[in-house]
Amino acid sequence: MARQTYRPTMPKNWYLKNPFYTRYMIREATSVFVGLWMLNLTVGLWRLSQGEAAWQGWIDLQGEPWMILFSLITLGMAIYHTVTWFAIAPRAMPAVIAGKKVNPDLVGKAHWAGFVVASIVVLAILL
Amino acid sequence: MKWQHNEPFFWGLFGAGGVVSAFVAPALVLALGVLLPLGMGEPLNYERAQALFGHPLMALILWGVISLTLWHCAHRVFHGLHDLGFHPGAVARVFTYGVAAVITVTLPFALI
Amino acid sequence: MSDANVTIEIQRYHPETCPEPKFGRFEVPYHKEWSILDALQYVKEDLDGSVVYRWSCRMAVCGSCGMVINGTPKLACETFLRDFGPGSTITLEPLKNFAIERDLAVDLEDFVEKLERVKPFIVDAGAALKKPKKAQPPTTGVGEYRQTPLELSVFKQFTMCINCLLCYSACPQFGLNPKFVGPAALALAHRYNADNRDLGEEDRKAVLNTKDGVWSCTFVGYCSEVCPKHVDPAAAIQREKVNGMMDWGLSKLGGGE
Ligand code: SF4
Ligand code: FES
Repeated sequence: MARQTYRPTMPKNWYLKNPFYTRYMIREATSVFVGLWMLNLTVGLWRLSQGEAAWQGWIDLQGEPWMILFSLITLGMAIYHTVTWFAIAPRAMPAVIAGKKVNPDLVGKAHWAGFVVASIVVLAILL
Repeated sequence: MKWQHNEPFFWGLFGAGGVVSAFVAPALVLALGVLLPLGMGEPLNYERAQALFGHPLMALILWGVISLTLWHCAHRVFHGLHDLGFHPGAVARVFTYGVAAVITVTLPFALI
Repeated sequence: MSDANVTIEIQRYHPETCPEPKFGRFEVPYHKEWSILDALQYVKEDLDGSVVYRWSCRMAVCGSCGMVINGTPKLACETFLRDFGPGSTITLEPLKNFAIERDLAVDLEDFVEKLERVKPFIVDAGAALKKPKKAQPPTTGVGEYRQTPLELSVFKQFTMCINCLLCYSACPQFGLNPKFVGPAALALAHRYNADNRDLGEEDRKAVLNTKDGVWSCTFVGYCSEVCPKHVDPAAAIQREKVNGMMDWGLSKLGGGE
């Protein structure tokens, strides 16, 4: 005979019940902002292919206060993604690569070093 | 063993986009979305933009960064819907992975 | 001796006498060396003999005493009254995401069934002696393996699991989808897959490669946070996803079975 048990239901807003879950949901939500921003950039490249006036229109749009605000929020979200991604990536890597034990701390530091180099290169090219 | 789904394919693109955007998205957004519109750096007028983004190597990099990041975002949004208690189906797939796929295919035409 | 108390609030459920869970309050003397488990023993012996909870070793090795203490999944035997201080109120709930049998005891059958499915043992060790997988594990005579410290280090942390199920209580993906195989069982699957003496990887694919296997995980990561043995099940699952991706790729190239 099956025993009688009580099965609690998970609240719909479970991610608000624990700060750890909330931080997880923010991590996932970064993709909404970063994704929309990349779509905006896609529009820009498409406008660029349409000629000078179209491109200038897109550039002017980027200067609108609400657009700068959106970019600022996206910037924060993108950094949040970087921080959380670099925290996880070293742990998810194989334990041994090419006969050598992977040191997660070192891998994490190498990620940040790469991030600094990549950021400098991107800023140098675009600015 | 026979695979009943293609989740590894989407997860692979998600991972690649996660790596790429973790490294370059902050600087990209900072430069194009904040500093240049605020008048810092060399103004990105039509000539400069064409020279910069028209370069084949730059076009290739932009294509990779944008497409992979969109696949990454699509995957997170799709699974995020499940976390929010919806049961994402075909429609959700079209609006997430579908968008990423369309941009991946069409972006090269804008860049050439 | 103590003159202060702590208040222990225990979520009670009993199919016959208390069919809707509700909290019972108990005043327990504060002793800084008492664990939550000691406090529960006091409740059961001196205040209410009907309180149900599981325990055995009292030293964080048997994995029986997992429960949700003030909202966080913890082992009752290694959480102490001094962590909260005299006069505090401590709430005890059964592990989340499981069916409750009585009070703090949850139904473990579903987990045991999942654990069995991943074959948490070295598969076909005898055959491994004759036909080693991957790079030839060197053997010393019949019935012995040589496993280098490096080979051991690949999976050692995943052997530390005590099946306490704190990670299942911490996992929202398991809460959302009870069919998800879940952190501990998947971490143990990885523990054996990563063991160079084991030949069971192919068998375990039938569980790991399904949507309810590793692919339900979104790396929330709270499982690894609450694990009392630092197993890091979330990391184990990611490594199996990488393996799964290779296997998927090979199958599409026609290379896999
Ligand atoms: S992985 Fe950690 S939390 Fe999960 S059952 Fe094993 S010891 Fe407990
Ligand atoms: S009683 Fe054994 S782990 Fe707590």
